[in-house]
Amino acid sequence: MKGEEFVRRLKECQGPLYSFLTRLMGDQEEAREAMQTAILKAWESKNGFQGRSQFKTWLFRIAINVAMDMMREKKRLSFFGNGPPEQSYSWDSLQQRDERMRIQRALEALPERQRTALLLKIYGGLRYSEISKAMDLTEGAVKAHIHNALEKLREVLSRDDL
Amino acid sequence: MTCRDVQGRMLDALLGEAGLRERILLGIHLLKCKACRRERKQYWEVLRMIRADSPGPPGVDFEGLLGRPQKRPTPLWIWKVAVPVCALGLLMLTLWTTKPQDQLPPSLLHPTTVLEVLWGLDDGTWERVASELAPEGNLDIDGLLAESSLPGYEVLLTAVGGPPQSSTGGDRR
Repeated sequence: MKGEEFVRRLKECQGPLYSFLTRLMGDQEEAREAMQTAILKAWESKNGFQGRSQFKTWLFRIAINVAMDMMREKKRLSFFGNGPPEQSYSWDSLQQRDERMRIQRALEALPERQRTALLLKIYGGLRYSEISKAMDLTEGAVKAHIHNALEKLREVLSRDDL
Repeated sequence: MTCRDVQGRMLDALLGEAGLRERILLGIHLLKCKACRRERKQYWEVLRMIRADSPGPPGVDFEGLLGRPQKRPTPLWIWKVAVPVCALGLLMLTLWTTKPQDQLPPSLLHPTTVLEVLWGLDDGTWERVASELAPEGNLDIDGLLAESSLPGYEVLLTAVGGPPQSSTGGDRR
């Protein structure tokens, strides 16, 4: 793939990719770092992209692996006493912040695959078939993960409202 | 469609993964079933909360990150000339090739328009539409579907007062 083509496609994906990583990692700075790392990795292997899947799916797959590695490393470091990770949010009003923290907590309570699949759907805008390729799962499994995730979120968020 | 069938399909529809026919059948069920409408509203609310917080663009300098020189932007005057010329050309082509009888009759736009609008309604509006369709609360959609040989969405269209379509197969009773 030529460089200009790569950058053009990258610009089309940057919004959804950043939104996805921010929600997945819960921190905008870490999401930005993960995104840059993923872009560099994708750039290095762009000649290996053979068009068997969509560019967006391929890029998201790389980004998922990068994010997962970073989150595992962070967990490992926090185990050795580097302290709990700080969440950095940038919201306007207190009410908005409360709502978003509720959502973030509820999302973090989901199993990893359910959370990843759901965020790929909502923020990445990928279809079930694309998510199945990005996560190396069957479409049925992707659908089940997303449905179960939404069911859990509905229960948790409805309970909070009581 | 039973309430049990509805749940998974409702989520697919809310996530943009359901086809038109499925959304039509779901819409018909939702018109009848208050419990499923309530559930739909809850899922809608969850999705709204999740989607509400979408971080702004990251502002990454891709060219700088990848060590590539920035492209010079196209001069503005080219856009000021090219866009109107292309637009005029397209307009002339459209006028030249489109004949009045080639346009879709308005009735063919109704099913998708009506059902897309219905599907996007909030809970209160669903209730209002349902009560308008059957002011005495006795709308028998199953009966309508059983009696008619028309496809489901044409039945719904008839029920909401739109023009019936000519059936593609089978005789109308």
